[in-house]
Parts: sequence; C-alpha cells; structure tokens
Amino acid sequence: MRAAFDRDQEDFAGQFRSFCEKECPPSAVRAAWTSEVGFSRERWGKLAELGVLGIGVPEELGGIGRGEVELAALLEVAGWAAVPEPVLETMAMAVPLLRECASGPGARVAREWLALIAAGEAVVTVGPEPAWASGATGSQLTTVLPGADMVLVAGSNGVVAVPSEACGIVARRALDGTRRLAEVTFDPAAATVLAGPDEALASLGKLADQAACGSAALLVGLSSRLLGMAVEHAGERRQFGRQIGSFQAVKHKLSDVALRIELARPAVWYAAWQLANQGAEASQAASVAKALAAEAATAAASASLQVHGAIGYTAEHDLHLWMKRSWALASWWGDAAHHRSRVLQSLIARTE
Amino acid sequence: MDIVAENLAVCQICSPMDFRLTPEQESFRAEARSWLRANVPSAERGTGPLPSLDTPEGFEAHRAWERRMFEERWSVVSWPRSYGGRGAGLVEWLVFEEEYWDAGGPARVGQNGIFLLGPAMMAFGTEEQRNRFLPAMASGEEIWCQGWSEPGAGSDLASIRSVARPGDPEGTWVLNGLKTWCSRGAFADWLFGLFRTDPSAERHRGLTYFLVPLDAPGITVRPIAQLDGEPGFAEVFFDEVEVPASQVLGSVGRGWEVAMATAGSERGLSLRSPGRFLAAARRLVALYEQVALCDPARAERCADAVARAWIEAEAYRLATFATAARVLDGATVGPEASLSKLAWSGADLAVHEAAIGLLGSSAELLGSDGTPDGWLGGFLFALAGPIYAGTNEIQRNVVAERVLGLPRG
Ligand SMILES: Cc1cc2nc3c(=O)[nH]c(=O)nc-3n(C[C@H](O)[C@H](O)[C@H](O)COP(=O)(O)OP(=O)(O)OC[C@H]3O[C@@H](n4cnc5c(N)ncnc54)[C@H](O)[C@@H]3O)c2cc1C
Repeated sequence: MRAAFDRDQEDFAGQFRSFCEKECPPSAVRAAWTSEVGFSRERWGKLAELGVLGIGVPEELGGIGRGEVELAALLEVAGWAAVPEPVLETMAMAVPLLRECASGPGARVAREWLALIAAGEAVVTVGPEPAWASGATGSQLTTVLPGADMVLVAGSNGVVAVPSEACGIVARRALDGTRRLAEVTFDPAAATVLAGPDEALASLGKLADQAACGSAALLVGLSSRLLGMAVEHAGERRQFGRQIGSFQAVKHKLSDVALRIELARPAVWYAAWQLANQGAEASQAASVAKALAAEAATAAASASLQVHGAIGYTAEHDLHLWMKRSWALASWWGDAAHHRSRVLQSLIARTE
Repeated sequence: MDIVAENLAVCQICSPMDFRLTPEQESFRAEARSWLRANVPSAERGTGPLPSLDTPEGFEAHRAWERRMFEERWSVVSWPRSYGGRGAGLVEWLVFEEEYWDAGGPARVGQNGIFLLGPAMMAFGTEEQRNRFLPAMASGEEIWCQGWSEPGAGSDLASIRSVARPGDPEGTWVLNGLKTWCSRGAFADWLFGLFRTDPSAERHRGLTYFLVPLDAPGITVRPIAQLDGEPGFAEVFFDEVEVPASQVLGSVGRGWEVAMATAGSERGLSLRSPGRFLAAARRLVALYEQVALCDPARAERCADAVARAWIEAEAYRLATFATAARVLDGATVGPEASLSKLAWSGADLAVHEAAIGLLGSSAELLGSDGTPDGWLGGFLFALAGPIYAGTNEIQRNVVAERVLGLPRG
C-alpha cells in the first residue's frame, strides 16, 4: 500500500512544472486565446520533446510507455499552468482509445497515429457521436477543432478515425478562449473503422472513465493554482490597515477550498491507479475523482474571485484564465452530479 | 531520523504507487476479520448489542469487551508487544479499523486512553510510567477521561485556571479547580489534564500535564446529560487533591507541548480512522436501497445526498492512505491534522444527515429502550464532531495560518 508517487514520477512532474513556468506563463495562456486554433503548435512540439505527449504511447512507437498514474501527475501540472494545448483530448482520451484499438481492425492506423502523437506531429481529439453523447458528456460538441489533425468519433456503433480535413465543422466559440468547440459531420467513406460495434461498448466505457479521471486531474491542478493566487493576493492586499488574509471570513473560505483539494487529489490518484491496473473499481473511482475535483474547482473559482474583489472580475487579471477553464472542465464529460449518480448506481449494483 | 529509518524512507520513495495490501497485510486483515466476526458482541450470538456506554451497566459491558480484545492482542494493535499490542504498522492499523467497524464493533470506551494519552505517554512518559499505565489502559482495567476544558476555557485552552501548587513533601502537587465536558468522566477511573503550575509565566508556558485517579480524596464528579439524555459528560471538581511527582507527564511547565501532541492524535489519524465512516457510509447505501423499495420518490430525492456522503467517506479513506504514505516516507503530520479533522467530521455529518433524510418523519423515533439509537443516535453524535477535538472554526484557522500561510490575527 503506497498512496504516493515514486521518485521518478515526482521528478518528471517537477521537470514538467519547470517547463510550464518557462514556456507557458499566464501571458502564453492569454496569447493562446487570440491565436488561430487556441493553442501553440510550437509548444506542442516541445511537449513531445520533453516526453510529455508520449507518456502513454508504447515505447516501440516512440513513447514512454507509462500509464494513467504518470499521466495524472502530468495533468495536474498542466492544470496548474492552464496549458492551452489539448492534453486532455490527446493524452488522456485519444491515446488510451488508440491503444485499445491497436490490436483491432484499425491497428495500422491506430499505431501510426500513436507514433505521430509521441513525435508531436499530430493533434488528435475525440468527439462523441451525438446520440451517445448526451448521456456521457452532456455535450454534443467536440473540442480542439479546427486545430486538430484527426477526430476519433466514438459512439455505440463503433470508433472511427476521421482526418479533420474530411470533417464538416461548424465552429462554436466558448467562454474560455482556448476551448474551440465544433459540431462535426463527416462522410463515412472518409473514416477508418478502429473498433466495430462489438468492441466499441467496452472502449466507450473506458473512454468516459479516462475523460473523467483526466479532467479531474486537470481540475485539481487548476484548483490549486486558483487557491495559490487567492492566498498570494490575500497576503498582499491591505484594507482597514491590515492584510485581508488576516480576516477570518477570508481564511475560512480558503481553508474550505484547501480541504476540497486535499480530498480530491488522492481520489484522482486512486482512479488513475485503478485505470492503469484495469481494476474492478475503475469506473467508480473515476467518478468519485471527477465528482470531488469538479466541486473543488468550482469552489476554488468562486472563493478566489471573491477574495480578489473587483480586480478578479476583470479580463486584465489572469484569474479568469483559470476560472473559465475550471468551469468548462467541471462539466465536460459529466458534471459532479452526473458522476455522483454513477457512483451510487455502481454501489447498488455491487450489493445486488 | 536515524539511519535505518532514513534508508527505509528512501526505499519507500522508490516504490511505485500501489493501493493493494501486501500479502502479509492481507493475511493480517483476514485474521482480524475472522476474530472480529466471531467475537464482536452481536444480537445473533446473544452477546450484543451492548447497552449504551453512558450507563453504569453499559460502561462495564464495554470495559469487558476491551478486556476480551486485549486478551487476544486486538485492543491496541499498533502498540509494542510489551504493552499488549502487536507492533503493527500504520497501514495494518488502518486495516484493523476498517474491519472493526465493518464487523459492527462497539464504541471504544477506552478511546481517550488508547488513542490520545497512550501515544503521548509513549513519547513523553518515563519508562516507569509506561509500564505502570499502558497495559492497564490497553486492557480496559483503567479507563481514562480527558480533563482539558473548563467553564472559562474551551477553544482558548491556554486560558485554563485550574491550578497545581507544590505540596508537602517536596515533589508532590496539590490540585484545585474545575474541569468540564469530560467525556465518559461519569464512570472513568483516571483523568489526564492540564493545570497551571506557574501563574506568572506566559500562558502557554506555565502549564503541566497531570495524571489523576478519579477516586482521589478531594475529587467530586458530577455527571452531565448530553443531547441524547445520557450522562456522557462529567464535571470534575478538584479541592486540594494531592498528586505525587510520578503522575506528572513530561516536564513541569511543558504541559502544553504534551497536550498538543495529544491533540494531534485527536484531530488526525488515530482517534477517528476512516474505517468507522466507511462502515457507516456502507450502511447508508443499504438504507437507501431499502427505502427505494418502499418509498422510491423519497429515495430519489435523497439520492444525491447519499452519493455525496459515501464519496466524502471514501475521499477521507484515500486521503488517509496518502497521509500514511507521507508518514512512512519520514514526514511528520503537523497542522495538516486539522484537514483530517475537518474531513472526518464533515463526512460523518453528511452520512448521518443523509440517513435522517431517508428516514423522514420516522427518524425522530426512539429505540425500544427509550434512547436514541441507530441512525438517530449516530446523528446526534455526528453533530458533536465539529465541536470536540478543537472546533472546526479553530481547525480552519489552523489550516489558513499554518498550512496556507495566511497572516495571523
Ligand atoms: C461530545 C463532546 C465531547 C467532549 N469531550 C471532551 C473531553 O473529554 N474533555 C475535554 O476537556 N473537553 C471535551 N469537550 C469539550 C470541547 O473540547 C470544547 O467544546 C471545545 O474545545 C470548544 O469549546 P467550547 O465548547 O467552550 O466552545 P467555545 O470555545 O466557547 O466556542 C463557541 C463557538 O465559538 C467559536 N469560536 C471560538 N473561538 C473562535 C475563534 N478564535 N475563531 C472562530 N470561532 C471561534 C467556536 O468555533 C464555537 O463555534 C467535548 C465536547 C463535546 C461536544
């Protein structure tokens, strides 16, 4: 029993954090908002060089061949830095899905794209098929378009790979300027089948779990940065002749956020570990993690905004970059209430 | 840290995340489970449930249960063998607790001794004191109560006014004053508490930690009924109570330090392990399923609260394993213990509030013996969680100032 990262995992996460401090400061996040596709291709290449993109790609395809535990460590850092690149879509969703498909009918295509991802040459996103989407994600939109090279469309009929140039895209802008959403249509003739309807159900279940766990890891990182900003501000800003952080109303608000984060983080580790080991509790653990992390992040956003006062209510201050990402991810691939009901269903199923 | 501990910590850090128990830990779990399943007082075997521990018969029945566990070395598994334990590690202890509460084990009447005073005595006591007190504490022969609070000193514990002055012969002490809210004080045998020995010193400095038998001349115990109507509290009056030097724990004037070590155990891992709340959360899910059969609309309305409560208990379990990993890596649990306290008291309340919601208007009914039992009794007790062991407001202050580093004041 050891509920902690090992030294290598800590070290890798530490390197990634230093990378983010240098390559992805708040000004870079802000720049991504106004960029053409919402993220930087150049930084994507650097993420590949660092080994971040290939963390879950098998070694023989140029990756590092690690699992969800390492991924969770990296995603928490990505959330902390509000990295605008589509790490959730590509690293936490497309890579595991492609890995699942790497022995199926679309093995060749799956392996090819896994290698491209590890090399930093491809951005892959995952779009739910509308009929299946509403239950699993609450949204029928796909992220990262038009910036992605390929879309994996997942639904109960199977998983297909569609090059994005073969997609019809109706772009929808979101509150978070880095989140580029789109309605997607495609010509089935342009799609490669990676998994047929028989294998699809299992893959889809796992995809939803991966999305829940991955977004939860990002949300823990986002929350801890939101809390950090609030603590810093509360130590600097003075009113009534004292630091506002010395007021108990401020202290208690931030302590509550700290507690939520401390409870969500180990839940993310457990979910990641369950996923990595194909544990019997993987789905349940992923939902526990998402339910906790989503509420930690929305609480962190509200508390941090309140502690900042009017300056936090501006688009000039960096706070909103983290808040808006938090709000979006809190409900993406299932909000807290959705995941709580999934947990209850699985607990009941277990006792039956 | 000594060299061995340091090497151990290094090995720990190199081993990967793993939520499985080792084979040894699994067999420890199996052994604990089978013993508990066979021995925990139960209605089926006609040995339980035990009467409320806040009654004279109930107290003695709980004491006998402690004795039974002690005989087979289950009462204090993490203590050294020489004091009646098994020398079990932190993870084994957490596992034991899961099994204990899952088996429906009764409340631990010796908890103030074994979970709070015991660890402090191992850290601060003399060899003689440890040999004298620990085995009797572990067996339930001597049940301890905690004498910290006073009518004028609650959250602001350092403002206590009960005093101890040097007695005759030299080295002895004479205690005067009043302690209150002593849990289980009505029937307990001994009290550990803080008394002011140097009124002129800075208020945290002049305090000393005393161990006092409740049958000593000059002591009067007045039971106080708690919310459930039973005498779960006592007020303890001290009138010229003589105490020998051997009953000072730690150094004279250093009582605050010893008390804070005890408080860390109370807030953190040892008093309220996750097993207790997980077991309650599991029972909550079972209750939900029952209600769903007879009143599906009510179950539906309560579903989110049930899920939320179960998740809180599970989150506390996982967070505790993360804390255990840090401890095994060589870290000490400091102000983070306040986060644990907020977590368990919150989870307990969430579980019991959800249960009360599921029970609807039948929740108010008393048990067959005319006392609040089952969920209602649990709910009343859960309400105390945010008050005792340092109120949750005080814990939030600690988290803000000492974990987050916000300015004092
Ligand atoms: C079930 C139960 C068992 C107990 N068992 C024992 C025992 O065995 N031995 C023992 O010695 N004591 C025991 N206590 C007492 C317990 O330690 C005290 O109740 C606790 O320390 C709070 O003190 P108080 O009740 O005097 O409340 P007060 O300190 O008067 O507090 C009242 C309210 O004011 C708030 N408050 C006070 N100071 C601050 C502050 N600085 N910032 C923000 N809010 C503040 C508190 O949070 C609380 O909400 C027990 C209490 C309960 C409920």
